[in-house]
Amino acid sequence: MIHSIFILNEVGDVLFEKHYRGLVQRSVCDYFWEQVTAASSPEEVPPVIVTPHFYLFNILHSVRSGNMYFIALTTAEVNPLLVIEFLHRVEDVFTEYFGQGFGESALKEEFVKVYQLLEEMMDNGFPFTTEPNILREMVRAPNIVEKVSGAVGGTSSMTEQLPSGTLSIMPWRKEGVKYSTNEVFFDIIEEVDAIMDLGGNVVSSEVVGTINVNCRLSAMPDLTLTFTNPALLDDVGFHPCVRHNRWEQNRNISFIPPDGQFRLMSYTVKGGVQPPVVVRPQIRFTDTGGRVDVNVSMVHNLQQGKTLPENVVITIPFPKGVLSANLSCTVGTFALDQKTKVCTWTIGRMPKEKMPNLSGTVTMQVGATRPESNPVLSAQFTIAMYTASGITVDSLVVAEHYKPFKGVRSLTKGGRYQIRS
Amino acid sequence: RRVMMMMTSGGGKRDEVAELKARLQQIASRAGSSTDALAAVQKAVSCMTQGLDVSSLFPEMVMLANTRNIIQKKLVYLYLCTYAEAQPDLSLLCVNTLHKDCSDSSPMVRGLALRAMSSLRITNLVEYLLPLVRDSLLDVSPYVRKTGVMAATKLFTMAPGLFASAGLTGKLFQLLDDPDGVVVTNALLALQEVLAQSGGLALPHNVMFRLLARLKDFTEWGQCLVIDLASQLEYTQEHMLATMNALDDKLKHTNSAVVLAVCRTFLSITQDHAELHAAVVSRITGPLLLLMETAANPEVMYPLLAHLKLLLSQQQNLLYDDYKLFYVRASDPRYIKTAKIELLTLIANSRSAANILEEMMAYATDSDALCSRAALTAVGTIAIKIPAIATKALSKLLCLLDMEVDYVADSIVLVLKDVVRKYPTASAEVLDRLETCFHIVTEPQAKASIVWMLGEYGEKLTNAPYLLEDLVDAWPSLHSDVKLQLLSAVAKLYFKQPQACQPVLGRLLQNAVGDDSDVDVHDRALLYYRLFRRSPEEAARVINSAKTPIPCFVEGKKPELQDRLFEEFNTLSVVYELPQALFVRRPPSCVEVKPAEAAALPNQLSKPLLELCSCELTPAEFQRLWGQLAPGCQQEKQWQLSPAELVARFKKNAHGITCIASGTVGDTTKVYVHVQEKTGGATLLEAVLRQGAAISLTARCADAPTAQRFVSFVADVLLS
Repeated sequence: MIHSIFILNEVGDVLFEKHYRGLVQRSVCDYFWEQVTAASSPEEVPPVIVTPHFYLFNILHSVRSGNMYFIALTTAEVNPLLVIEFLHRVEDVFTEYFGQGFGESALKEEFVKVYQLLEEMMDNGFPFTTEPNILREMVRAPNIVEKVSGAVGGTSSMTEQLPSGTLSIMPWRKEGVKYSTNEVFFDIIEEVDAIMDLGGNVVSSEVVGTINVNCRLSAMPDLTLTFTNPALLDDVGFHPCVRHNRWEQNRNISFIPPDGQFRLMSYTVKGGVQPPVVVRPQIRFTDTGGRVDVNVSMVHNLQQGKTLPENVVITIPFPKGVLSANLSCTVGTFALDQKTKVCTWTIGRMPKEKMPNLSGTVTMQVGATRPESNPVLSAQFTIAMYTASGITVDSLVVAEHYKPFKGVRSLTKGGRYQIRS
Repeated sequence: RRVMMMMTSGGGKRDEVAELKARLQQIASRAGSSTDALAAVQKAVSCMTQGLDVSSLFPEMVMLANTRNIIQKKLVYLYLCTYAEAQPDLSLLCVNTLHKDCSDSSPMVRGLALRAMSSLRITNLVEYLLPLVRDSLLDVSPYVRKTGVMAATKLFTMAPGLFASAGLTGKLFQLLDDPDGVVVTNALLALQEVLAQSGGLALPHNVMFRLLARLKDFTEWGQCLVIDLASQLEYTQEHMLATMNALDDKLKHTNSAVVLAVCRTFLSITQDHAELHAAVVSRITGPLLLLMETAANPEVMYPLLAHLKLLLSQQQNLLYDDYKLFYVRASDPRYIKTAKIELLTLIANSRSAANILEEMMAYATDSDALCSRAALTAVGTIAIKIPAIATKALSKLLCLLDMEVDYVADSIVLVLKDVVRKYPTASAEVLDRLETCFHIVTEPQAKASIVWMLGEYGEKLTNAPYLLEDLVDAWPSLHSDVKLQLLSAVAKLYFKQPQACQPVLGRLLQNAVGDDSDVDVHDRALLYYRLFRRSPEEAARVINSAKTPIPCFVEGKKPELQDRLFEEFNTLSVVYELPQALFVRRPPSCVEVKPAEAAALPNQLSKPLLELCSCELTPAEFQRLWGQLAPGCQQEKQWQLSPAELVARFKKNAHGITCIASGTVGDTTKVYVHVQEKTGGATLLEAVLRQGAAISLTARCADAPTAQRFVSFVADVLLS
């Protein structure tokens, strides 16, 4: 059972605390903070910390405006993943309410909402409702209308009506949903994780796909989604709304969707895939400097296809001993951060004919030792209307009396995409 | 100057609070504009969240609870719950408002008020709270009912006696059939907490199956709870399969907590069916791997890796084909890196070892010394586990020495020592390189390893005595681990290269015998000195005896620990790799359930009345305690029990009783058991049965009444 929840900002100040089973002094967070100061970076803090009286679970909410830590306290043995999952769900719900990459100031401004949410998501230390669709009925998301009406009439921003969702057979959908234009969008997003060696050979690669749905359909629509090639899929995980037996029988995804945005399923693909973007680095260090030569190319079927990789960024973390770089690139721009010695090469859209290349020399600081290992490069990219696994939607049937607008998009992204040099 | 600044700023804050108090007073007296009121309340709560002491506003805030604005109400309640414990007298002021709100027409207001009322945690208020809780359990709105159930739990922690006399336990049981899923799961939680002291919640099979059948009504967290409870039942073969079929779907859930709960239940209910159990282990691996791959963050990945490691220890060939999933990425935090490396080490077999070895070498030059150490240790472990790969591993390790990086060399030397212990034939190749290592390594452990290898295999290296001589001359600066190894090494080498070693050994023994900074070193030196003086042949037999080759190292093999951990699947123990008993403290507050209350419980729940917790005591500790404690209580009575049955009753280890030993000599059977009380110490009990005679029970405990209670408990519950 979770005893308390704390939210800390980047410098260790307690922004919020909520106690579900009696007060606990803030000073308990000091144990956590010790670990943060001891760690080389915020990501390195282990997720479970033992203190004399409590177990502290923490997750990092990493945003540009300053990291935040969500901490949960327990006194006794618990299922560790229940606590960690719950904290992530809190983060997700806050994202729904306060926007992607919400920061300290957004939370402070909306502290009333924060407390209401923390109150409704958990009672007496056990998670209760974390489904955003239901929460939205109990705590209204901040919007302009509310601010105006609140200022004029001072009326309550709370619907007097209680969530009926908890009583319906489908806890994820409320009854009586109505839209003037019915539409449903499917986003197939595939993240390619890959490790490649310097020759462009694949050490390991895997694709993790998720299908996110934005559903704006009236009444109780029953949807069926089929793939042209479901045999490609290996392990699948579904939103509770999906009927498992239908999947087992004929590989259909049949479900009554929640209202609004949700993640329908996640999957992995059998066997590895050919990473769509190939990076071939050649980096050699001597005692005084080094030579750098990096080529970027893409797989054959992309060269033929309609869409090309976009937002291509290659990151080279040079050793700390590097003083300066004399580089040039055939496509895009690059920048070397003097503090971190990270070289970021922004290629943008991959050209169809040319193979982007970055080459030149780096000089080492006087007295710096020759680096023991070559840097591990990483690559980012997005490819619209393309799935690395090759999965495609065959049909989408909506069993309702109206004809909704249906849209399916796909996107492939570089996830943890690393090249050893 | 700084002090002054702090004082003024502190003063500023105080002014702010005073100002706010005036403002609240004004608003309260006018009972006026709600916008003002809301703004002021918001201000107060925001001060509170910044850690400012605004407890002085209590009376005004209580008045502002009386509003139709639900946001304002929520905020005031939040404020009250924070400060009420510190101001129990003033809190009585808000009872009226809360009481009134509990019968409001809006279910939201009723629920909120009840939650606030029960969260005040003031013992004086329990009499007011009880009727409200009782009514709420019958409320038409599920929101109020589910809040009421939680309020009942809070009432129980404050006043267990009152709770029982009101018969709330029975009411909670009725709510297990509530149409609303959340009410049901909350009732389960409440019952778990209420019955924790009296043996825990044990649901009858029919209730459990009813819950499983309506699993989809519950939130994902509620599902976790129900699935967890399902693991505690005992099943017939048929029921077991039905339960597993019902839960199989849930392995595809995106919430890792649900999947883990299902895994736990599967593992625990198939425990006694070896074949099925093995099938379950491979069934659950896929879903766990999917969770790990889709885990967007390392925090979720970490417990998953720990659980996969545990599964792997049970079934060696589990992840043979999936090992590439565990390749380390540069962006992984250190705790993930080391966990993955450990997993890869466990997975490696003759098919995958070459690839895994290649990977490990890529991590060996990691700029993080700990990760590099982990990778190199893994190389050693794999080389020892799989002889076919050993030569390759060895040459790679030696190659890496050329880099001349101190922390890498330290780790390599430590690994090399183990590798040559397993494959003595490789020693020549290793020994050639040791000289260069000598000047790179920094850690005493690594130095000691080099010295040990020189002593053990030094006959193949002509300049070994001279290398050691340098150390002998640097004696005072050595770490005692190195000193100890040096003594053994030079002594051993003396039998292999006597001529070169004689002067070195003499100087060394002189140094060491005269060194009294470390007793071990001093003693070993004296032992060697006397051995050599008495008879060199004897010394050779003792110091330089032939070694038998080692098939495998026993270090790191802890099957018992792993078995124990397996029972605690899906708990923190797995993450810590320690059994629960070693790190979980019992909650300090313990409430004894009185007989009257227990009578009110439904039949299947009447459990023993002692508050016990399981605890480990070794036979030796038991014997020691038995000698220390005076006999507290003795009782003899005739039971119709055979010796075997008597032993079996105790051996069930039910009710927190742990059986330490039992045995029969002639016509006398003796059983020794002990219990650990949550608040007090241990109570030990001896039961003796002579053929045809009465059973005599003797309990020993620090205080006599407890011994008395325990004996009568055993007599009434266990043996009758």
